[in-house]
Amino acid sequence: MNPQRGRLINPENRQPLSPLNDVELVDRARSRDQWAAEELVHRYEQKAYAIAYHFTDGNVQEAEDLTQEAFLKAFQNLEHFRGDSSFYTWFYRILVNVCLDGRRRNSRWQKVFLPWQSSSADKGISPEERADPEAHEHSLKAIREKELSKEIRNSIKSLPEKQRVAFQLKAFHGMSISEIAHVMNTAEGTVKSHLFRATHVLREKFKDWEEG
Amino acid sequence: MRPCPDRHDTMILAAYGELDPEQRRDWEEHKTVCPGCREEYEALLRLLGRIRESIPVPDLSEKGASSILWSVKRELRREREKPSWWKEWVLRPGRLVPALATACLVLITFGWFGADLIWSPDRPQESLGPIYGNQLVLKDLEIIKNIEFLEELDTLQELVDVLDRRESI
Repeated sequence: MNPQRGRLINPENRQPLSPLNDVELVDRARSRDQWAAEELVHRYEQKAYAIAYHFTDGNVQEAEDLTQEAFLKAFQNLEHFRGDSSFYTWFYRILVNVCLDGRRRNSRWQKVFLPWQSSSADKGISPEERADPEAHEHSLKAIREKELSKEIRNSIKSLPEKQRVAFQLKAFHGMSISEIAHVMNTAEGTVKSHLFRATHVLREKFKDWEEG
Repeated sequence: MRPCPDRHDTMILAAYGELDPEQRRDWEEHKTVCPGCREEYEALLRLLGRIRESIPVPDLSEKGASSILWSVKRELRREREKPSWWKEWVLRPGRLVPALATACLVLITFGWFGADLIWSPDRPQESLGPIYGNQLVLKDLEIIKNIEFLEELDTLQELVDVLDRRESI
């Protein structure tokens, strides 16, 4: 990451500025202050990208595109931000909706084009690896780890949408339940029950993972 | 040992750091006396850690970051340069061309069919108004009433014609 990114520099005299809070930056960005808008982007781009990355199951290009789309939507609708919640929960709500739309769009495309896609991505251990017992022995642990990671990813992917969103925002991004409730536009109790179910399902599925 | 079923939700909330201080204290005390809950809680923490490790997030690339920034800047510039709606109409009269063309087309189409309807010789009588229609109905009723007389007049006319022809021969 660029160390210069995120630094507050006054465009007039190129001197560092004291950090402004989100509300001040949003106010400035509303009045078409480009510097404030850039500052907001720098402040949240990495976290937004991380969320998009998890929603796209690790697709870098798609995650970047969705992050960009979410920022654009946010700046186009900055007039509608009333300040009832913090900027970042408002922005993450836009981001999550953009990601869910992208996911639905993709699943529609996949339904149409899946028969033509090759299954090369799912091959697992290559014949060369199988043929070389030393290499196989050496990488056995790594392969097991890789398989477990893949299984975890697939299990998260197979969770119902709302459970998945709540779980990802909590487990990967450390959001509080009230923040998740804001982002998902739902009650805290509902978020809790999504979290309980998702965690229970994953715990049951990987009950013996440490032994295996 | 199995964990207490009534502590299941508390355990998950504790693992996510969502218990308030009092609940947290209560849970910690319970853990010290219940090995089942303690083991399950530790296993859950390990699993959550493993899940977090399973999808490491790379840093946003320089290219991706500059692309996001560039698109936001472009959007802001576009918003800034966007004139108010009335200025847009005044400054860009070309925007009116499609609307005007459509309006003309509608006027021509309806004008043509409308004129055809008004000026056609065999147009329906209702289109000329109720008074004219009533007058025609009265006239028709009079003809029906005197139809026999009119038929007789026709016969007489034919007789006169026959007699005229004979005289001329």
